[in-house]
Amino acid sequence: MLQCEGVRIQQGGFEIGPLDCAVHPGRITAVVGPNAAGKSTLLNAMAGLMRPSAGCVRLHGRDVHQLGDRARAESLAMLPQRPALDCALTIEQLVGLGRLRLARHGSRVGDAIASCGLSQVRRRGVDSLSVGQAQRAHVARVLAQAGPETVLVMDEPTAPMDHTWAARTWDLLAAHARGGGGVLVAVHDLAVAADRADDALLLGGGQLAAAGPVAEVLQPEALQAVFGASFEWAARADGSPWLVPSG
Amino acid sequence: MTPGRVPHGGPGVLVLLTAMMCGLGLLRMLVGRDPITDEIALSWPDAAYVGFRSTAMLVAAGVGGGLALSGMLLQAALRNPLASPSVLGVSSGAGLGVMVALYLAHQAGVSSLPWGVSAMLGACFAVGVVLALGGRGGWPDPVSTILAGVIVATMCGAGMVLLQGLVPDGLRGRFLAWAMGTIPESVPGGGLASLFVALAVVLVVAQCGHGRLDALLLDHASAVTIGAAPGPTRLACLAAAGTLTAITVALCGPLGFVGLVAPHVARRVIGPAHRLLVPASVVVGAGLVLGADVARQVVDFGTGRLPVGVLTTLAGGPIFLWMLRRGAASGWRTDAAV
Repeated sequence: MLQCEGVRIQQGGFEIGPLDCAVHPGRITAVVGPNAAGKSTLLNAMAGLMRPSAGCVRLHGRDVHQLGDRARAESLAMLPQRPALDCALTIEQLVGLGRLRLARHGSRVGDAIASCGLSQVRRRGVDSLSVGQAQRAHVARVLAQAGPETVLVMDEPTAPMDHTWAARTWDLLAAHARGGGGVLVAVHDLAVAADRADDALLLGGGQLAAAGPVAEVLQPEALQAVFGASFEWAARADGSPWLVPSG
Repeated sequence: MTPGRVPHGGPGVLVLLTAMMCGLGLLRMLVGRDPITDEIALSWPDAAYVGFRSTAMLVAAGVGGGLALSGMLLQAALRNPLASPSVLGVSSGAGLGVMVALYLAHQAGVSSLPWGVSAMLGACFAVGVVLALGGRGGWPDPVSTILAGVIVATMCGAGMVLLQGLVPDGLRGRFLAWAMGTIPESVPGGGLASLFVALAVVLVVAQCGHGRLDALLLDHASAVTIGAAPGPTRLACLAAAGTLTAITVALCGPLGFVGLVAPHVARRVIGPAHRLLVPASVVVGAGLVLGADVARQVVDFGTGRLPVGVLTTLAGGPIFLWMLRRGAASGWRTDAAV
């Protein structure tokens, strides 16, 4: 489990928090909110990339800043908002870096590449791929690093992907969660968050406006307060709920 | 090369490069100037001169390898294809060190001067200042380090010009000859050993950490979360490159373009992954300086042997420009700086 306990983060005159929230094993937690709400800052802090000015981030019960490089790599893998899409390495070499500090399992890298549909181009340079393909290569690198209990921290993982690969990436995250791992995802598309996530953290102006199961958090009133826009739950043709802008 | 294909020279290519370097080393043993007539001699040297030629060969190979390894480490650490030992201000710092020593010796009326020690002190001073100014959050920041290096190099250059005006013409001439680079045929005790010990240590450490060097090609967040510790790795790269370059400058003076071009040539034939790029850069750099030293024995404009630094720059510049053109034509990114 990845937990924030009274976390405050200061960055460039902007402060978020205090935040108390958790990413539970076996569940996908979506972080949603308008631009500059603090989503990426929260993810960076939870990944141990930023030291909170107050409070503590705990990963499987231990302060994330007290973990060694190898221990953290075993327990947490991250796709940042702007991964190095111009990296000169081949896809195979990039994905292999996911196991840099971990035991090499023969098929782990190949499986991750295959799951992201990149087997045919695995010897091509990442910087020669389309942005969407390069993003998939970084997703594969995260999957190659992940063990069953690893928490995945993904900052807008599907932003540059086409519809098909965005859906498949969400499937891969769901499969990781089903295997017992936790997943924390920053996402802009509220409908996708409502459809794919189990829990949600709603951020507005650096504050946690709501947290809990996705159906409870993504309520039109709360969204109106944070986004200043109207949303409503509609029903799809198959009867499943669907969050859409209204008005 | 097919667009998008990363060059994949395997160990076979590395063996081929090594064989070429050894061939140039052998050629350097065969080619030289007659010490009496200064005529070009193409033969195995007399027993009396074997030591001179073998020393020159070893210095050329070690200095070339050291500069290339420094350049490769800097290009990885600073995520900048234009990074080279001169970026850290090492050469300029060494030059200022020598010039300060020359000035002080002139003032004190001392005729002999420890060139190597002066250059080493100046180079270490420059590296120290750049590392101190280029840090952010306790670790070197690529952009800040490059900017600090450029400023320090410029200031050291200005200091050199200032001091040159304060010493007699004869001393100024000696300084300018040193500043163009040379491959000495005899080296004070310990100089060659310190070069090869430093080269061996940095080579082994870099080879063992090739995965961490690869990780420096990633963004900071990814590099941290895969456990690559990019901050300490960067600091180690900069310190190692600064030390190696300082030793080479102390021995030979500044040699331009080797540290910039050799890693690019190696990358071009063997790919960007550091498992093979580390040794390949050393081999290419050694071959480049050996080739330049052979050429300076042969090329004669009636002015005596050309300074090797002039040859490495005259040869390295066009090679780099050619690679730039070829790279742009085959999808090799040239805008990936920083």
